[in-house]
Amino acid sequence: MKKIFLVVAFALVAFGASAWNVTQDEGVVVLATKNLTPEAKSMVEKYLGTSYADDVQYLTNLEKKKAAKHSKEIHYLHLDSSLQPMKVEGDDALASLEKMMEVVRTRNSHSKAEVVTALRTIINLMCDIHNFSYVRIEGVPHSQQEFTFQSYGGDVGKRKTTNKVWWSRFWNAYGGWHVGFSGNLWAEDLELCHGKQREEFAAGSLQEWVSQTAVQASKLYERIKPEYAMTRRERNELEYLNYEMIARAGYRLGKLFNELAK
Amino acid sequence: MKLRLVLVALCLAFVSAEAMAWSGLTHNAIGHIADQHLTPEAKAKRNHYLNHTLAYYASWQDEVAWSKEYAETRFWHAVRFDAKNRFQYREGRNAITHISRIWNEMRNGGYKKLDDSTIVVNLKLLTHMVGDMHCPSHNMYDADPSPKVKRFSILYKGKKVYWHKFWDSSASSYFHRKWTCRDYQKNLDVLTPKQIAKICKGTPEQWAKQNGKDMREPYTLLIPHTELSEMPAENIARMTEIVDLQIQRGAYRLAHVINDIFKE
Repeated sequence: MKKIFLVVAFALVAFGASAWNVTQDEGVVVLATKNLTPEAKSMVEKYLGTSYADDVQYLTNLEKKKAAKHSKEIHYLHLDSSLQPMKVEGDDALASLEKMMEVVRTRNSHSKAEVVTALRTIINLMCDIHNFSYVRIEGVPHSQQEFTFQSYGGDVGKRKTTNKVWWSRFWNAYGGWHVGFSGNLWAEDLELCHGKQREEFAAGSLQEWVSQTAVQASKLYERIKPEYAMTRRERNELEYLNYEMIARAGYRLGKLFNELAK
Repeated sequence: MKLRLVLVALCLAFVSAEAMAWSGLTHNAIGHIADQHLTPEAKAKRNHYLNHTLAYYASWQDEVAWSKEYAETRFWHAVRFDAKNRFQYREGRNAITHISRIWNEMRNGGYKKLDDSTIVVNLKLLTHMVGDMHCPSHNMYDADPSPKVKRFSILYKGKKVYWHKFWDSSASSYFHRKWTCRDYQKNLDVLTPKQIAKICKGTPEQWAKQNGKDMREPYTLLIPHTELSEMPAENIARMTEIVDLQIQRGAYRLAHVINDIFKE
């Protein structure tokens, strides 16, 4: 029985594990939408309509329905020990993004369904490449699989106790502060907090964005290893970092669509 | 030795009952409704000092209450009453004293005399405390001899849940399943300006007195050691009305306090 449970747990972790939650992904899309040129807006609406409910977790939903044709590596960023993108069997997030962007660029020679799939995949993967739990670095064993660490509740009182936390769950459910936020509320708050950094966040190319995530993830993996004991203060600091990554994903997705629409 | 252990256990139970009350979702919903009622001046100041919505910081005090830096604030979430519904000062260990203190210190341009980091912390504290003082479990009557207002447990999905824990986690999802902040706002932010003005009239002490009187009722609606879904429907319906009213009071009063502070 225990074995079955472990196999199921591993399967869940290995394929389609948790990324950001639905409302975080929606926040990314709403933020991107607010920053589209009229040309890009019309392109996105032509293929996806005006509601993104079916798009934000398109890949995950396919996986849940067991209807996925993509590789299980599609969510992950695979990097070598010098943090350069690595080729893996089946396309990883970066390789898939580049292919899907090409489909959108050459959309007139593709069917509508193909372009829709490409746009949806881009939305999903732009979220994934900003999520540290999807970064796998060669030579860093704990980045290759799901692991747990200890999170302290606080320095005083009953919260001195520690809780076991899964690495991917940590980044996903870090809705602690934002529980009940809809995509619109995420976007409103992200604009307030990071609106002034819009240009700065959106600057650069896809490869540079991946590189930034890689550097940051590498630092995190160096510090947070299995059974690492994280303080409450540190947890709150990482909350801000995650928040910034969601804003980066939103502004960059907007920029990507603007460029693809040209 | 045994006595010492018992005392430590009692202290811990007491401390854990102080912080947290509304779930994070309810706090955020209160913040979100309040955000919609800020004057343009207050909104500009909120953006300037917090760089976030009130909804974002609504649960902040629960997050930091367990750090050494903010340990003192663990006692600023709740209000205790005596048998005559007078709130207990308890050497400043209550929400009302600090809501009043910060409000008085910052209003009439007082905030201009404070440094930015103090203003930021004060706004975050107000955002949490004004909501929290309206939570049924944060209106405590342990000085009251009535057995009806003592701490008790109910059953929720077969598990024993204490009064305080019930409001911390289960309540908001039970009374309004799957509601987001936006749903709370859409459904509860429906009062007329006249009704809102009536709610906001008075001082935090007067609001507390009103809560002290009104928040006895929930203790009588939940039946100890009984599964929540098996309680009389009219009790649950009344409880829902009370929860909604308390959320409205918390939200409108929060906006009122922030608007008053930044009134030009």
